[in-house]
Parts: sequence; structure tokens; C-alpha cells
Amino acid sequence: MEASTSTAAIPRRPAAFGWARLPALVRYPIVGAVLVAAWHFYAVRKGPLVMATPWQTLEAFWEGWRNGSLSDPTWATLRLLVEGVGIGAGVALILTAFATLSKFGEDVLLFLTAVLNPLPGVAVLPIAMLLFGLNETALRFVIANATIWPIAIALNTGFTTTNPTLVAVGRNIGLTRVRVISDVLAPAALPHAISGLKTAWAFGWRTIIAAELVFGVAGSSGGLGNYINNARQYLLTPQVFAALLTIAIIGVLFETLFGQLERRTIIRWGMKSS
Amino acid sequence: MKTRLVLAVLAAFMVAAFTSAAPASRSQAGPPSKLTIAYQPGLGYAPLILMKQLRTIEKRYPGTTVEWKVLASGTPITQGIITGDIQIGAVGTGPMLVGWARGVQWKIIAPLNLGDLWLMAKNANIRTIADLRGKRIATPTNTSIQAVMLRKMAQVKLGDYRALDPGLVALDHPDGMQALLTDQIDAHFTSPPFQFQERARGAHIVGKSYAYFGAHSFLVTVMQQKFYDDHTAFARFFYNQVVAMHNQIKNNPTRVARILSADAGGQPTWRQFKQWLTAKDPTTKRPALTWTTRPLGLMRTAAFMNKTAQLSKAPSSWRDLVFPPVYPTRGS
Repeated sequence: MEASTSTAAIPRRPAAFGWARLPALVRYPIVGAVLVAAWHFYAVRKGPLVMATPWQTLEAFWEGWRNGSLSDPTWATLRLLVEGVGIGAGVALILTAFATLSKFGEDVLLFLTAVLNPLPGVAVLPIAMLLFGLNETALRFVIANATIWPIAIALNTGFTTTNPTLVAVGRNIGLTRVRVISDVLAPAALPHAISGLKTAWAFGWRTIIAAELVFGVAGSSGGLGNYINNARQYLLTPQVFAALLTIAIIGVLFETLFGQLERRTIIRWGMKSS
Repeated sequence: MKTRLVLAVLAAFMVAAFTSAAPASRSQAGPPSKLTIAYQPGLGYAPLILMKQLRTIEKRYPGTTVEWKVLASGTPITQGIITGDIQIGAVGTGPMLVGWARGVQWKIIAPLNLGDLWLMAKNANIRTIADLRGKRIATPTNTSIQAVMLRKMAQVKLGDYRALDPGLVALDHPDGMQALLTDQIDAHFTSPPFQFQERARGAHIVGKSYAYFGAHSFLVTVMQQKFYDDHTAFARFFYNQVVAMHNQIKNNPTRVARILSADAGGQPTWRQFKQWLTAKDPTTKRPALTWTTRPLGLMRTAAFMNKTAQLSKAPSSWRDLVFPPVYPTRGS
């Protein structure tokens, strides 16, 4: 019976007693505790200037969220991320619609994607700072660049792999080409759009943190990357770890959010198997 | 059977990981066999550049391999010293004090100079500290001596040391200079030779650190207590070398300028370096850089940083911050 509930790639022999027989509710906390204990002992060995212990990290995390020193930069970074992804999604939508409507648009999209997609966001940052100055617009530009291409590629794939029968039906009942895009292609491309959005969010999140680390703005308008930078300069290692913990938690939260979104839309509508 | 084998290997690995000591090439007496010295771009590090080019350490201690590193700011140098990659670092007094207060077991082995640091602006409308409210000001890092001086200026002129904090941007000197000259930032608190270069390209001085703090130390070389204890004779030799380089700069500026220019690959020219080495404040005619191993203003800086919550503790005496070779200079 263990073999049937096991998720191993190679079937394991069912154990009579041992680790695999324990329920998940017992296994996971124990694994977590062992890893946290290993972290603690390693941090104590390395010293407080190099690594923070789990308890110090939690203390700094709690302090930072309580008095706003960590929460404010987090909201600032998230706000920038949402704005950047919004711009990216909008531009991607326009580019993909253009690509669907004309061959020239498709060539332009192909060319831009091939050239700009491989560029890491942080590599574009110096150019952005020269163009827009040392302000948030440069950061928005960098995030937009990181997010446009994954979304555009995903949307394009979604549009081109739509069931041709559906498209034919749409044309048959007299929809204009623009309405074909909005009423037939876009709903059909929803799974691709969501997966593109997930990728774009992941790229954008990493890019914004890295860009802020490079950017180095201090003061009230700084984001999470700047918080880490500042903590580094003042040798406040627990705060660095608290920021990393925040980033990890936000990552998990967004994964859950996207999972919920998928469950309510494309899984419920049968467009993706759960 | 297999699980037990895996567990045994894992346990052995963890034991090995926890008991492996950090690599250290310590000899109980005598010079270190390998030495890494790190400094930053700037004219203030001239004594170290001279030591590098004249190979004075290698001549005296042939068994020692010296590696010279140029890093962008005090933060990577601090981290390098903490992890043991760097043995001697050249940083500003700001990062030195922050590290000292945070528990990095280090002290100053040889102060490099006193320096008048200028706050430069290019926009003609920015003339006073009050004009800087809400503007973007670049300093090397938030803990740099320039950032401390800026807060002092804010305290004196605007009544609140945090008044200019929202506009602070951390840029290292070359990037900051480029940003100022291309109008991306409004002011740049920097050091020689960048402040001279900016002035030559049309920027003007908004504030000088000497005016708010008196003559004060700018750059210092630091080493960890452990290193000093293990290589006390070498540390004393290093201190004497810095003094010797200072004498070279004072007595032989042309030769020094040639060496600095050669180290920089010929650009800027040695004439330019000589001009910078002897540069003076345009109004008071005092030299911008004073080459001495006598530290000044350490206690004043630490007290101010303690007041602005940048330091968690203040030293009780300047001797807490330096190693014995520096004691006779009667610093402050």
C-alpha cells in the first residue's frame, strides 16, 4: 500500500517500519526542525557577522515588520513590481495583437523577442539609468523589459495554437479580426497567459531585487534590495536574513495565489488538468 | 542496509563539515606567508600604491606573497576581512568605526591621511545646504565618512541630521562623478581626486568637511587583532613603511607622481597627479590632503555617529581604536 501512495520515480519497496510509515504531518515538521537546527549550529560556528541564527532572523523579521523598517520597503518593491508587470503585460498584449493581425507585426515581435529576451534585467539597468535618470522610472523600465517577452511569447503561442475550428467559427459568424482576437483567441490562450504571467512575475521579482541592490537608493523611497544593501553596510546580518525570509515568504504567497487563480479559472473550465 | 549506509555517509559528511577549520596560514612569529591588501580607487591610497609599485614589502620579506586588490567601497573590504580573505584593508574612518562597534575585532594599524572632503554640485541653483533638501545626493555608502559629514552638515544647517537622508544615493566615486556630470544626481560628496576633477569640469563646492568637523582623518588601514597578535613585528614594519611613504610624498612629489601615473596606466599624467598631491583649498589655501599617520577627529566622529544612531557604542579613548605603533602620534 505504501507503493501506491509513494511519489517516487522508481518504485520503492514498501517499508515495514521506518521513516516512510510516518504520516506527512509528522515527517515535515521533523525535517524542518532538523534543517533549522543545522542552520542554527552552522550560524553559531560562523559567527554573528557572517550568518544570523534562525532566532535572530525571526527577531529581526518581527521587529522590521512591527516598526515598518522592513514592511515599508517590501510594499515599495511590490508596488514597483505590480506597476512593472502591468506595463509589461499591456505592451505584450499590444505587440501580440499586432503580431496576430499582420505579418510585419509578427516579424517585429520575433526580432524583438530574439534580441531582448535573453538580456537579464540587471544588464539593462545602466542603460535605463542613463535614459531615465536615477529614479523609479528606470526600475519600471527594467522590470517591464523582464516581463514583456515571457508574456508575449506565451500569448503568441496561445494564439497560434488555438483550435482552428473555433477561429473558423468566429470568422464564419462575421466577427471582425479584432473581435476574433478578443472573443476567440484571448479566452483560448488563457492557460498560456497565466503561465506566461507566472514566469513574468518570477523574472520581474528577481530583477527588481537585483536592480535595487545595484541602484542603492537610501532613504524613504528605497525598496527591499536597498534594505538589504543598507543592512550589509551596517553589518546587520540578522536584518539581511530577515529580508531574505520576507522574499521567500512572498515567493510562496504568490505561488499560492497563482495556484488559486488557476484552480478557479482554467482548471475549473477544464483547460488544464489539475 | 542501503539506508544505513547512506545515513552513515551523511553523518560522516556533516561531522567533517562541522570540524573543518578555516584555512589559516599563521606563523607564530615572523611575517605571514601570504598577504592580501585591499584598497579603493582614489588619491588618498597613494602610500599603498607606492608600496605596491616599489615592492617594499617583498624586498624586506622575500618569503611573503603579497596580493593587492582594488575594491569598489569599504563594504566588500569589510566583508573580506571578516571572512579572512583580506588581511589589511584601507577604508574610511566611517566604515572602520561601524565595523569596530559591530564587533569586528579590528583596529587601525596606520592612518593614511587627513582629508578635506567636498560636497560638489553642478547646478548653479544649488549653493547652500538648504538648497539640497529633497535633492539626490551621492555618497560612497551610507556608512562612509562622507555620509557622516553630510549628516553633520544637515544637523548644523537644517537642525535635523536626517533632513537630507531621503535623497541619499550610494554610488562609488567614479560612478558618482559621472552621474553628477551628466546631471543624474544633484550633488556628490566625494574625495580627492574626484572632487578636483569635478571642479575642473564645472562643478562648485557646496560644503567642505573641514569647515564642519575641523581637520579630521580620512583614510586608515585596518587589520584584525588576531593578525596583529600573530605578526606584531610585521605590523610595526607596515606602519613604518606608511611613514616612509608619507615622507616620499612630502619630499619627492615628482617621483611619487610618476609612480602613481604609471600605476594608473599613464592616464592621468604625472603632472596632473603632482598637482593633485599638492592641491589646496581654493579659499583657505590649506592642503586638501595631509599625509600623516596621526589620526585626528576619531573621537569626534565616533561621538557624532553614536548620537545619530549609526554606532551602537562609542570608544572611551582614541587608543581603543588603534594599535600600539600609532600611540606615540598623540591622535584624537
